[in-house]
Amino acid sequence: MEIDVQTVRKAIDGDADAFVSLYGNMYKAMYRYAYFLLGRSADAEDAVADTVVDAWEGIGALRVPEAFSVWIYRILSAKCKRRRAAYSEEGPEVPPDLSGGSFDSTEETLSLLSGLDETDRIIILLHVIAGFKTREIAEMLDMRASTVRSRENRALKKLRSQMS
Amino acid sequence: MRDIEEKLKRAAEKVDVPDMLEPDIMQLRLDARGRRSERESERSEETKASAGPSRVTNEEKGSATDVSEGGKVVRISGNDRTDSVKAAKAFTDRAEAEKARKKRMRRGLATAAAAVLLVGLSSWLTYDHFEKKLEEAGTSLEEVAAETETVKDAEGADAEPTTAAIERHDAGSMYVLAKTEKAYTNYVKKQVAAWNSYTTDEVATDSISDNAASTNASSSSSTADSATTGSEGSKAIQESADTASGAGNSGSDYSYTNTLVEGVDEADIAKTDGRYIYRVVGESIKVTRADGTALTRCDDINMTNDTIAAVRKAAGTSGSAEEGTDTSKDSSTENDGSQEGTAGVSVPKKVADIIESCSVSINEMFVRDGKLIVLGNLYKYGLNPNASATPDLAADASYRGVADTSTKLLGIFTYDISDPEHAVLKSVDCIDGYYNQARITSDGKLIVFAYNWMDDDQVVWPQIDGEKIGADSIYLPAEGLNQTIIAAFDLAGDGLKAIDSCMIMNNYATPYVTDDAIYLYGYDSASSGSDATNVARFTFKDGKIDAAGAATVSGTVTDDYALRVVDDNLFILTTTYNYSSSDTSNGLYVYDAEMKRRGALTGLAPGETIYSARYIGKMAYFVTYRQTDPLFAVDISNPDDPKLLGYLKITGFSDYLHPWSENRLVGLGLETDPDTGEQKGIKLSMFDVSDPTNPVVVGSTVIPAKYSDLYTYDHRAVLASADKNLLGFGYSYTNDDYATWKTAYVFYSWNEVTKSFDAIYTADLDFNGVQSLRGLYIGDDLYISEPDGVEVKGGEKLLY
Repeated sequence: MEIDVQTVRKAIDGDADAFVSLYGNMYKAMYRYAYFLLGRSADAEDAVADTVVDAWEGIGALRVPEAFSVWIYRILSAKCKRRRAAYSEEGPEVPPDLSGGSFDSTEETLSLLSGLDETDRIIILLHVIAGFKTREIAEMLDMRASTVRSRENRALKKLRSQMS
Repeated sequence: MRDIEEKLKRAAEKVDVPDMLEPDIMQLRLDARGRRSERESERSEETKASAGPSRVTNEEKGSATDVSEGGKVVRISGNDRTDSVKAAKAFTDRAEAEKARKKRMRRGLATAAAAVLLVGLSSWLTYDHFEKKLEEAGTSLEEVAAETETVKDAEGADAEPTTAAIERHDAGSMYVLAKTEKAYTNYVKKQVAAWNSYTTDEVATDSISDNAASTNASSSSSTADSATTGSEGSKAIQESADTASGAGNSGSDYSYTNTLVEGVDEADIAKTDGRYIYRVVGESIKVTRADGTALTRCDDINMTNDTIAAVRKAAGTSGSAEEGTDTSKDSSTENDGSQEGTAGVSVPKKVADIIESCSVSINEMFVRDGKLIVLGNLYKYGLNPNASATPDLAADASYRGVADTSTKLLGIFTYDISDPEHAVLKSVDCIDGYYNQARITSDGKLIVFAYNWMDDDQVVWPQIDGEKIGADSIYLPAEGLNQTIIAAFDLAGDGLKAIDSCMIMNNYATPYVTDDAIYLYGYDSASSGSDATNVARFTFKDGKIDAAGAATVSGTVTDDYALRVVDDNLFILTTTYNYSSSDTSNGLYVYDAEMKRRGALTGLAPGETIYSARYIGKMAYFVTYRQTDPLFAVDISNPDDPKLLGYLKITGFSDYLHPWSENRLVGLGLETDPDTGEQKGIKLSMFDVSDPTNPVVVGSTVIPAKYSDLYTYDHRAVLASADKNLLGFGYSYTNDDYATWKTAYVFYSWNEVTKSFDAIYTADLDFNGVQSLRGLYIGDDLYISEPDGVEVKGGEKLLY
């Protein structure tokens, strides 16, 4: 993801406008990423809001401005992960519609995605929604790029096979 | 698979983003810190849900109370605060690890996690009760710690390793010296191929250009040469006035940066030398003369206009920059009479070559012994197509900011400030990479940590002042393409003298530096089942760096003060998060000089996360976060057997602990309502730990606020001096519902008579960048360094 380094530097130095402008370029993708990961809009909204506030509080300590987008998505993913851990206590989420689905509606999209393993879902969403490159995703998930690629391909194939 | 991706993308675009996340609303929200109230209600939900322990408010002296918890394992769900910055650093989001190499690790960790859970399930009140479990856990964790990454295979390495002028050792099997250029190159190629391979694990090495092969082999010996010159007269014995005190400022008449380790100075954005205050503000170092309550503005050191111009001048009038010159630094002997460019500015050729259109993005600085050392990354201007034909790039602001790109070069600018009002640039040094951190040890050695990574198709040999780091100074792990570069310099003379450097290929390691050792710690990407941290120890003697050992420690470090070195033993406090059970637990682990495990205390405070820690003498104190805030006291006098002595349960939680005297500890944090979890304000607490089995609150003071945010994320932002009886810190707060947020910086003193803290000096500020604030003192005068000026207690604020 391309992020203007000078703006990040300003944000690190405490320039709130700079930080908000960075946010402005990222927030839609962040929300959609969280939403497709969690399947719940209120939780996704919370996750993004929490992430942004924490990021603003903690950005003073970010020493590598180039890593800003990776850094913020790490926070976001961690927040989503914690929420998802709570879901498992509450019972299964929307069961995957294996008889045939599509991306026509949000519900159907969620249903299709829920049939994927969590990590595969994260990889696909980081790539398609957040726009990260394979290498960045590999770095965020501490995997090899080859692993990221093959998992993504397998997952996409699986999605296709489930589509009507 | 493009069609699926396209469909998903389009589906995403159909998803409406809630209004509350719109940027202008988020801006208000940032000022408003709305997340606090959400967390409050989350917490109060949990309060009702769990059959929690009876909570005791313990504010009176001498009334510590034992509380029975009934052995309930508490689940973490609202622990977002720790998740934030610390998680971002500690990478708590993870995926499955690869199977083959990690099988043994996983087995060991699973055993450990199981043991820790067992410990957690029992009551953690009584130490004796889980001693047996600790033993089990201790053994399993030992096994795990002993297992490290497999040695990087040396396929294709040349038979003859280059002779190292400095004898360097491997860091266990975690980081192995490359020793030959071929070994390094092959490692990089393999890693890069892994990045690039598309659908299968096929390795494509053809496309990789190998710059290393064409580099002179002789350059690695020149590194060795520069390394040995550092020994002449390099021991600059520091006067006591210059040593930074990690345990707070003591015995000095002006404040130092609040550091992690006593005697090891850390670079920062504000410094004082007892007469002048130096601040990093944008592209300049601003200098203010402080005469008691009278502040006088002195000339700025504008890095872009003045410094760069001086460097360009020095570079331009030097001898030619030919290939193959022995020294890569050119010196200007011309005295141009300007404020900064005078005789003898030495500039590395590498900097001279690119300086024409560069600007400096200042990171941090040091002030030491009449020297100002500024660290900043160099950026190239993007050219504004509308600019005039013959621009003065440095002066013409219209050139700036159009896609400034990094040169990936970290500049170290050394100025002579024997006359602080007329700083003179003396030398420039450079490191290939981005600034990470820097230290100056008590004997005057500058250590700079830089960070770099390789693009897909080039083997990068990082350089210090244009001299390549040799293969005998490169450490390779099992995998990873990120570079941590450590460069040591001597402060003797006008500028800096490079002594030694090395590069460790690893991911985002954090340094912890003592006077004679460097620890690098970072998330272990091979861990599965639960978190783990790789820690490598390097000795640092006379400026020379050598690995001593490495270990993988269970859990992650959640506070900068969680590490401590006593007699060459490393004490490290971690929080372990188990992925499958979503439980956390905490432990204190002890390692010897070779990073072999000596002792451990595990299963501490299950379900909680370490929030703040501090080691004082023979004790380790730490505070965990969930709802109430136990302060634990651990006896570390026996490194083979740390013992939990006691704990104190109080309301609220401490973000920051500071030793105050032999028997006292100050805590800075937030006060919360024990029943609702609602925030009540900022709390300062004085703890008496003369009986560590029974820590006690002597007194506390709350700064009431409906919502507040204490800025203790960066320990350097806190000013603490027991001798001066001063505690300075910044925070933001609001008293109406998010409507207006303010920032404040305050100084407090402890009042032994009233057993509370008195506000000595409070400054209410107008902007939001609490992270840029620093409190300082010179004699009895108190100052606050702010981005828009300096203010002083009892005097006029100087705005500039």
